[in-house]
Amino acid sequence: MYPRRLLTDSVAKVISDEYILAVSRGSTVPPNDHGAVAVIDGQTIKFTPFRTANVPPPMAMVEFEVGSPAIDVAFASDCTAIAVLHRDGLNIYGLESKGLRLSSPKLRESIELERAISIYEDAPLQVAFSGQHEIYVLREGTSEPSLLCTLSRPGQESRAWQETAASSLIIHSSDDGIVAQDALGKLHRISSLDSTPMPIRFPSLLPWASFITKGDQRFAFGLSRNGHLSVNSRQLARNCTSFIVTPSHLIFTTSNHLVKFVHLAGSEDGEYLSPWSVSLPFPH
Amino acid sequence: MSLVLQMPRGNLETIYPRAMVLAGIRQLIEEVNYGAAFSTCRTQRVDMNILYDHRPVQFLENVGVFLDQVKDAANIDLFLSSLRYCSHSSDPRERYPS
Repeated sequence: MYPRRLLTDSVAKVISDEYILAVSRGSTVPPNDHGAVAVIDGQTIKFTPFRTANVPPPMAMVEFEVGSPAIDVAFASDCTAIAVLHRDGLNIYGLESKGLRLSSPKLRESIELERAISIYEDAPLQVAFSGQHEIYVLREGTSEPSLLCTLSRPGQESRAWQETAASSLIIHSSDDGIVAQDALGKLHRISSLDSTPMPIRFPSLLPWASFITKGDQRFAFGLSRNGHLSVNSRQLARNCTSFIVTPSHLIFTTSNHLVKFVHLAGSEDGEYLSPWSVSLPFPH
Repeated sequence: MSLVLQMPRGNLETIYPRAMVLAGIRQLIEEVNYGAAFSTCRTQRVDMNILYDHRPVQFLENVGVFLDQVKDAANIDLFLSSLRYCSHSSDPRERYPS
């Protein structure tokens, strides 16, 4: 059993935090598709690039500690770096690929994030990469719902926190900013310069989400807690247990032990999402 | 081109789904990496006609590149012997020319 929803209140507001079981993944785009996976275990990060070493859980190819309880892990778009967000700040590790193999992470820098005065309301929430170097950190705000901070390389001087509508950051392998959901599931594109709402929305705020651009089509995939898989505003499946997006396919598993493939079509086809899918009977 | 799945008991299984393997081979052909595409066709038992059919014009323009990358004469023989006059393109009209 693990706590899934926490409700707390202070004088001015009610805070509702939802917790999900999350696995951080690296890129699925060749040639950087190392099958990189990272999970958090307290102050330890367990990292396994499956193309390098097929190590079954609960073991991992590499386990490394950060100084305080880890909160979120993100990979750079080309798997050359891992960012670990923890209670005291952000650690950035470098990854080297030698041919098809990925090395152990090496600590590059350790950043302390400016903490707000109130220790109850500055909780860091998520971290995400834009491209190879730019990092976004989302945290709870004091008077505003949440704050976003951008770190760019090399050595950015001031890292100012900015108010943002974002409630959750979405995995997106692109060089020009990140995609985020607000509390209602509407998507925003955020770059270091500005934040613009996108004409895409989910039915509601979805805990697991991914975003890909294919030609001039943009696909946002999201999975709700009760197994509803959505593509933009459209529901695709009701019994989905997990999903992953590659350049050609959306792949998802269902609660009746099938793996389904959906071919992602670019703009040359009439329908933006090909209805063809193949089911492989397979336990989860 | 592989997919790692976790079973209900927690153990991992790796599969090579046809859809992903074909997508991977198409990608390699588009990158003019016929060597890797050929090896993948062999290990994954994919019909080698795809090496020509996916990009016919590109193949004919890069026959030299193909031969340099595949290198081994036995492999080239294998490719030649698998060629059939039956297109594998996705367009059904091209599949069985009359």
